[in-house]
Amino acid sequence: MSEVGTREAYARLEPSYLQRYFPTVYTAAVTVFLINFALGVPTTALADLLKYKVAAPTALLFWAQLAILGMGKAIADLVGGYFLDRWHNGRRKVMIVGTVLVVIGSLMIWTTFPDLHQTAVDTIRKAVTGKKHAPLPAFDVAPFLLIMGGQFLNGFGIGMQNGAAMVLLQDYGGATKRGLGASLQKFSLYGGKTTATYLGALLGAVTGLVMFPFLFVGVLAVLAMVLNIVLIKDSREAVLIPAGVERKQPTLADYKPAFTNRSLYSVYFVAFMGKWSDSWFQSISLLYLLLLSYTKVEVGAIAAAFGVLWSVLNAYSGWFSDFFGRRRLALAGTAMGVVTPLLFLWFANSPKNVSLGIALAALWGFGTGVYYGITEVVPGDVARLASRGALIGTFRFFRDTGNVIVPLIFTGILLLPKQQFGSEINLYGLTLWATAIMMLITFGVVWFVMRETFVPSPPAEEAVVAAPRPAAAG
Amino acid sequence: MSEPRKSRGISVWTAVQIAGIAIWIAGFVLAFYFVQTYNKPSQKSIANNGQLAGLILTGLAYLLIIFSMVKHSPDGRG
Repeated sequence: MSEVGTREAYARLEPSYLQRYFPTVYTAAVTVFLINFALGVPTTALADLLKYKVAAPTALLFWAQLAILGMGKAIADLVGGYFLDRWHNGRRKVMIVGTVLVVIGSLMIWTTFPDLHQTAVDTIRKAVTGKKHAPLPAFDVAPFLLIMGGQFLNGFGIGMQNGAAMVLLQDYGGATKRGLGASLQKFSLYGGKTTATYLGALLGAVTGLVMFPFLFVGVLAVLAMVLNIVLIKDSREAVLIPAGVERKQPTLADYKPAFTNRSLYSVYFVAFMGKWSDSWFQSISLLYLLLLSYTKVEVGAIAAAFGVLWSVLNAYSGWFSDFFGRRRLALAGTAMGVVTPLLFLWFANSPKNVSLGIALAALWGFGTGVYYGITEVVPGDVARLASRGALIGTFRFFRDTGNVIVPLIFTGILLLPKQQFGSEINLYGLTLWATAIMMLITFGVVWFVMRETFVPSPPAEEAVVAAPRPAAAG
Repeated sequence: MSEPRKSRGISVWTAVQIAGIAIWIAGFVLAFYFVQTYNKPSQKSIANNGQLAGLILTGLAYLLIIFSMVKHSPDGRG
């Protein structure tokens, strides 16, 4: 049995609109890539700047660098999802507003110290950490607030842009290609992020100016904004409204399935574990492998193997779920997710072997991509067409809390008493055991709780919503 | 643009997909090869050029992959 969104889509929509609206579809994917690439370019110099030039208190450093961005993104998931359904031309407007906010946010940060060279920050750091222990300058509040505000707007903007593109691409996926629509967004997002993380440092450091990466973000965001304004055609106005879908303000009843649908709360868990694995490779793997005497380049290559395969699989798992079903892929991916951390633990406890590490990280990335790519299609299957934005936005909010919760869990594990576990290295190994156990629970949730939300061919009796098919929605 | 073949073998768009993925992965491999091989300070510009070449390759591969995803996307069994 399929979900109400799937049934309604079969009854009202054509199999797909992706090719008919190719310029919009291609543009939506490319602007997601551009924005996520831009904000993914490493800005490691920002940490030094906040600590030594701005002299921010330690407690505020974490907030200014990362947490405020994640918070902005999570809030934007909910707010953006609401306005996607509420506003006339909501999909288009939210995408444009998202890119505008990133332009403003990145330029706010850039204007704090536009001419500051890295060597100036290095000089302060050396003076403070050197033998003479020079005192830190006084806390410079104004640039700190600008940076905090800019990071919040960047997070808010990217959340709106990504969420709106996801809903728009699922709309154009019609009755049978929602998974492909989701895959276009997912591959663009993680493709951009992975490319920037592992290959983009060069662009950030090209001028030697500390704040140059944020000017670079601003320029790419302007490009994305112009593309959105010129080429994005609102999918609800173009496809859903002509098919008889009502335009209405989301009510509490529209949000109810987000808390009551068993398949939806199953995929919250699955998506959370995708964030878990990503977080492990972005933070824990780097420290763990350095402790195991791997060089920085080797560690980067191993972590990149995870990211490259994960991003590529995101291009296919949603798409393939249009043929094989969402649940089957979730089961296959989570089953792989139980095994691969344990294989990685075996590799970590074996003699040094970079190629094996790359192969196992790639396998882990493959499995993660298999289950992660289907997660955002499930709310699209569950939601009524009129409230798709609200429900996908709520899913994104719950999933993105993983960005905050998972690092806290890892920190908690690494703070356990070393003596009890033998050594620091064993504590890192414990994070892999924790990952495998969590994946086993997730596999169980998918097996016992999740139902299939999409049937590849609609039985006649499933066309429960009588509605005229669109005449010529081009 | 119509799909050149539908019945047997792989279509042109499937081949483009496979080529795109190969180029995508090659871009990363190339960049890491240059960074690993030319790791002395005097060789920094060679390493940077290799990394830039890898970056351009992955960017082009991305554009190719999503182009072919939309152009060659058989309907679900609907």
